[in-house]
Amino acid sequence: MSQIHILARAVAERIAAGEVVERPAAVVKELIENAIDAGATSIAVETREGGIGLLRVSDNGSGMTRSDAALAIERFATSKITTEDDLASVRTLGFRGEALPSIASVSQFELLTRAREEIEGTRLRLVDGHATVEVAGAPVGTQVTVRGLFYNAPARRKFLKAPLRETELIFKTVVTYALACPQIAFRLVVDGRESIALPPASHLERLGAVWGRDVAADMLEIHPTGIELKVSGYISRPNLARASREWQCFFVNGRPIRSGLLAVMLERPYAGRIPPGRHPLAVIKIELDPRQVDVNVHPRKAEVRFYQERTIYGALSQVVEEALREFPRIVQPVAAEWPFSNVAEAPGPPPPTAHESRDPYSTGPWRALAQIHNTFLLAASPGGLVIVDQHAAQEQIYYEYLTVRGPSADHESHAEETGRVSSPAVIQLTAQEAGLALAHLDEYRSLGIELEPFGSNTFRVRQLPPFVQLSTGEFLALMLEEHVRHGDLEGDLLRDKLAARAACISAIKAGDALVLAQQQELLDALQKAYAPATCPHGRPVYIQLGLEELERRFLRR
Amino acid sequence: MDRQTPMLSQYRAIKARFPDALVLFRLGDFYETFEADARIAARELELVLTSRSFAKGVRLPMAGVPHHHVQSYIARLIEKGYKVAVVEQLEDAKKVRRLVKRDVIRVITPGTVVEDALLRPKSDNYLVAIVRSVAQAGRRRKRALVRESANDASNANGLQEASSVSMVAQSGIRFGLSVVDLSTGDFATTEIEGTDAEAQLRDELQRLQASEYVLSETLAADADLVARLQEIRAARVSPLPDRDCAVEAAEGLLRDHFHTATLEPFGCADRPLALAAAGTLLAYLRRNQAGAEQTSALAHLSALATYSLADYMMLDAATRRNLELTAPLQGEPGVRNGHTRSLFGVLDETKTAMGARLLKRWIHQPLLDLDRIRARLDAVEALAEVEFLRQDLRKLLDGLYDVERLVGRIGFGNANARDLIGLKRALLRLPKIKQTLAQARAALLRDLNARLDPLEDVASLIDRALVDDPPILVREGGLIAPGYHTDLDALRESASESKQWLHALEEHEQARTGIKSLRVRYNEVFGFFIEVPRSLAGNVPKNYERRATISHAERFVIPELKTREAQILSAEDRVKDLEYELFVQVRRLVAAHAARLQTAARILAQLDVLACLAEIAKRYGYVKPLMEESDTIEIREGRHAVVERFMREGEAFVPNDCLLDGEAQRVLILTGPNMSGKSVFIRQVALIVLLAQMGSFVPAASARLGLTDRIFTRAGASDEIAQGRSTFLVEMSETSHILRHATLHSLVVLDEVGRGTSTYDGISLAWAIAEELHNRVGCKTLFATHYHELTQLESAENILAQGGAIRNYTMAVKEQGHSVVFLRQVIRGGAEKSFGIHVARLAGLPARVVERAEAVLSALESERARAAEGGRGASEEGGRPATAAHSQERAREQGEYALTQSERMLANEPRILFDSRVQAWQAALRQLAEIDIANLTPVQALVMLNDLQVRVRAAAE
Repeated sequence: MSQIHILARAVAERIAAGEVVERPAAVVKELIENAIDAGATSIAVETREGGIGLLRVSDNGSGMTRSDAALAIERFATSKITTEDDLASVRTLGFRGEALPSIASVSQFELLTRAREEIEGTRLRLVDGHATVEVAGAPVGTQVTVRGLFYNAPARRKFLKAPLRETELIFKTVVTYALACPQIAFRLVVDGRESIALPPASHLERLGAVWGRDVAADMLEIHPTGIELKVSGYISRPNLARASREWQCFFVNGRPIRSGLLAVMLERPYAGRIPPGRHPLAVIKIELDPRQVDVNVHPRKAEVRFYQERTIYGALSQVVEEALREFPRIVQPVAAEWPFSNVAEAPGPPPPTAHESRDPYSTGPWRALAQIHNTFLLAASPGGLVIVDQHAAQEQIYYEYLTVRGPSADHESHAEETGRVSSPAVIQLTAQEAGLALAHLDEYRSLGIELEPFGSNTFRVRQLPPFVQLSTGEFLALMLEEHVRHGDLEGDLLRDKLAARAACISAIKAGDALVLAQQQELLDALQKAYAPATCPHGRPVYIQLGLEELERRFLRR
Repeated sequence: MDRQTPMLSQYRAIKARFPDALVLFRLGDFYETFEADARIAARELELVLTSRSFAKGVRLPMAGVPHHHVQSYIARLIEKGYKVAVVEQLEDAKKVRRLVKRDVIRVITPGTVVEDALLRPKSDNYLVAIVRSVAQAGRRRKRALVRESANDASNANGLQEASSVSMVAQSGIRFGLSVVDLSTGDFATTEIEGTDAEAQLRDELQRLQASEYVLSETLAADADLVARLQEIRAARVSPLPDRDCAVEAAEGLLRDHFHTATLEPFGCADRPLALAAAGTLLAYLRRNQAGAEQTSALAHLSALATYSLADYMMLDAATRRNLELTAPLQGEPGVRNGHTRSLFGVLDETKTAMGARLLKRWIHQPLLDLDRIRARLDAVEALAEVEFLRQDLRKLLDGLYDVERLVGRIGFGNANARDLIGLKRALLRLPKIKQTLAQARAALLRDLNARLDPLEDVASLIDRALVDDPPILVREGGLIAPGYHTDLDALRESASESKQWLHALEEHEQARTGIKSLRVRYNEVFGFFIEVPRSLAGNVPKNYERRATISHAERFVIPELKTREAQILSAEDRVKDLEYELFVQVRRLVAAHAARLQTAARILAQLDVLACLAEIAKRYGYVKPLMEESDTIEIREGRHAVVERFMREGEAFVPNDCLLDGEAQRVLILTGPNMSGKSVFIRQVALIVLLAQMGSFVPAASARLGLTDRIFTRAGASDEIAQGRSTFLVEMSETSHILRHATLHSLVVLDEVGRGTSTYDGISLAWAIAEELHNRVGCKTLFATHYHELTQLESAENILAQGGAIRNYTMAVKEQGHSVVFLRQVIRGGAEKSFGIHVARLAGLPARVVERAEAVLSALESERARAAEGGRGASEEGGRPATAAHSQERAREQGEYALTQSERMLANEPRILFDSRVQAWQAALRQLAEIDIANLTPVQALVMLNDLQVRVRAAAE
């Protein structure tokens, strides 16, 4: 018979701890925040086995006296606030007094600390609720060591990901705070190997250290306006954008937060300046009166509530727009305006009416309509409109010819062309090139390139792929250049690289004009391809605008 | 009976020219050694000793190595100190019917290596020459020497005389020392004189760690000197005839080498010994040259730098070792995360080998010139502050070719085309480096940038002349870029035309014979041929000459084909020859710029080191020290640069302050138990001083430092025990060295001086040494000891009389029951206990032993208390109980666990020994020393003598 009873304190604590400390990265977050609150100028994080074996955060902040240290592991013990009123104006990152006891309740916990004015340091161990306190030699500051995280909370442990993944999350956590506090030195040691070492720096320097020197060179400073509300930081120039929002960081009074709305407000001024579906990079710091923001809305303090949202969102969009002013919008960000104004007139039969084939999945033949800017082909497909990158299309066709279909497989159609070799048929290579070619005659042969040694560093070219337009010398010079670049490859890997190169240098370029018949020939060949959607380098070959999409855009639906 | 075949006599003739070298004799694909050489090679290289028959009845021992592995075998021989002469075949064996011409192309000794494979990239490789003179007293010494040498050049005229003089015992000796790193062209010379010339020489040699010494035959015969050299580092000693080491010979040789009429520009014209040493080196190098290619080989020794040991902070061998400048102390874990446990190991974040070598030199030669130090510090600051400037610069320096050593190889004519391409790539980065540096505002960086020659002409010469990916072999063609040389282009063109002709021949012959499947082909064995399927082989014309038959085809040649082929081959040969000729020419053209390249290389090395120091400063939180004209050392939260990086997991380094103001606080007596961190603290102060004066930031929160002229350390047990000198003797000789040479501006770091002897002797010596340092020398002193008795020095009368600048500090320790906690903090005051037994327990000594020790300790304590009551006479005159005295001494010597001191016992220590009596004796001696006998009447002398006797007697009672 079970009866309702009050949970033992230890059990209750362990459950509550899960709220704050859900995974190693959360421990790191809490400990880093404590270090920052303690005025540290240097924070080191050490982890083993994804933080489960060991987590250690050391700082050179103010440290604690022995009595404070003993109190720190009591629940709801904090030095940061005292009254409920204080909660409204929290300036420190932590304030609840939950972090250390929560962490300590689910791990083998050790605290080593010394306050500046003291000579004796304190070592405090807490295992299974038993605390021992002893004197220890220590530098000023605090070092928290957490071993065997969740050793007594198997359920929690089960939900952890692989150590590699947990390590990655810890890494991200450290990077986030490193971006928030560039004046603090950060160090992360993963399994004994230093993986982050960031000396104190300016905002931009820190950004460069974390995201790369090149990224830093493409960042714009946004100039803060206002006194009570200060928005500052760096945003990327429109030429730099990523496919996800991973590289957008928002800090409110130094606290990293997640906010979809802030991201939207950040991106609004970018519309028309960067391609749709791409996101700018940004580090945005918002500073305001702590009473204007409620930080106590999320157990891990990852979200906040602003009391005057509109002002803040408006301010953000405004400073970003200001910074982007020098970059003109390329197109208006309105869906109705597509840059099809200069489509070449395509003769031929009228396109099928919309209702004839409404099935967006049908894959009938593509009918060439026009070439625009001598770069893209427009084609009517049963499903709607297709826009094809002519270079990528032919590149993929040639690439498949060389690798999948094989020059030999296609003998009939090109029978008259095989063996075609334009002069000079004897080519001279450098010693290095000749050595590589000699060692890989078979790979070349499989690509329809028949080389025959003809004296020192000299080869006779007996056969080339039928589509090669360049002179034999030029073609092979480019091929060998690629080969030298990948001098350590062989077999299929080498074949693949060479085939991609051969396809690329032989395919029509952007800017080559094609007559309609040629366009149609290209489209037909592309439709026969095994993988028509991407070129050998992984870029898209065509994009489709389904009828449904068109109808939606024209507000017919 | 000894019939000599031509080859044997060829070998013997060569061997006779290099009797002291192992001759590696090229025979086909092998390098062979014969006779005695073969026995040595077989032993040292673990080769099979065979024999070779030269003629009937003439079999000689032989051992050989395959030619493509010869470098690694040479490396091993050089490592073992041998001299190697490499004999090459100078003609193509296929082309001559008679004996192939052979000659020595290179003589290699450990000090004359320039081959990359034989050198360690991050270490200098020094060849050192030493000359010695026992000079007459008086001011005209130098003139006298020069004149003498002019009179009698052949007899080395006293420069190398006095072979019986040992390096330690004599004064009045002067030395000339010259040093060259042939791989980089660094060539320097100096003269060493003064009362401690020998010690200075030893310290300098200790710094240089030469691979080879060149000595005159006379000096080389001095067994004692050679033994001392070998003690510093087991290196080859190469003797040179005395006349080559004389000043006059040197002057002529140097003038000839540098093509100058006078040696004034090199600053050594009036330093005969420096001159003689430099001349000795040059004479040795010339003697070692062989082969025509090396006639200009020493051209890259383009300048001779005359330096003085007084330009740099003097560091003796013990200090370099104790501070772990470049090598860890014995018994310490050597490597962590790829960093050696040494100052160099933790500082080396250089991006180039040139930088790493320069960093080592800077560590070993801290500066004494405030302006130069500040210039370096400002440069480091500029690079530390601007993150992107440093990163960009370091990226540009990353992987930069070792230009410095390349210059040596170019000079020696064994740089290959890839070396030159490497040089070109390095040079192409120079404009970018200059552009990056243009943002820097520090004066030193600006100056370096201004002096950094972009060398565009050299880069463009190489760019025009050589292809980008040349083969390693320089005689096989494929090196020279098209368009560089018209004749070469024409030759290549003709070869290629012939090939076109052969290509066209296929169609022509197909048409002529009607055989569609006829092919003109080529392979390495046959050259060009015509291949016809076997089934059609019968249809070939008459002029087809059958050469070979393979499974499905027949191979033919025709006369036209062979003619053309011969043309091609000869053209190709000519191309190869011409390419080689052109390459050598290009190499010579580049070599002509050796001095410019060297200058650029040195600037790059400096930039690398400055950027490295900035990187370290940022990464590990070092700060810029404030350097000033004073005798202050004021460090806030200082750390030990090496120890903080080698902490055990989870341990954190505890920083400490240190204040020495040169006035009120000059000598720190640091007491505390073993393992409490005394040694680390006193060394960290020394390291911070050294780092600051080499121009580096220091591991501390802040530092204000005056210039220190020398750092002395006397610390720890010395590894010289292995050489049969007792620890104590070494300790005392090092200490006496310190007392004699320390100045007001020196920093003296003493760790447990006196521990090598019995307790009372030890305390007494330590006491007297501390007094001497305080009262006489006045230097900055850190004195770590576990003799608490020394804490009384702070308030001793004679110390107070001399200003009382001794202060007691101790390592904070907390006793917790049987255990002891080290707080690793330096606090004011003296230690109360040694905690020896506590420490022993911490160290894991078996409990049984620890308990027994406690029992013995308490027994000793009570015995000692009794002895103290019995008066000091008993303990001094040997009347103390023998057992107690012995066991006490033994206890101390074994574990050095000092006894607990009670106040009462302290009071009963024979304090008088350290105070009044010694004081009185010293006062008497001082008086004696100050007497001006020349101005004393006999009566005055007697009065004074009486006075002295009275004072000494009074003290004795």
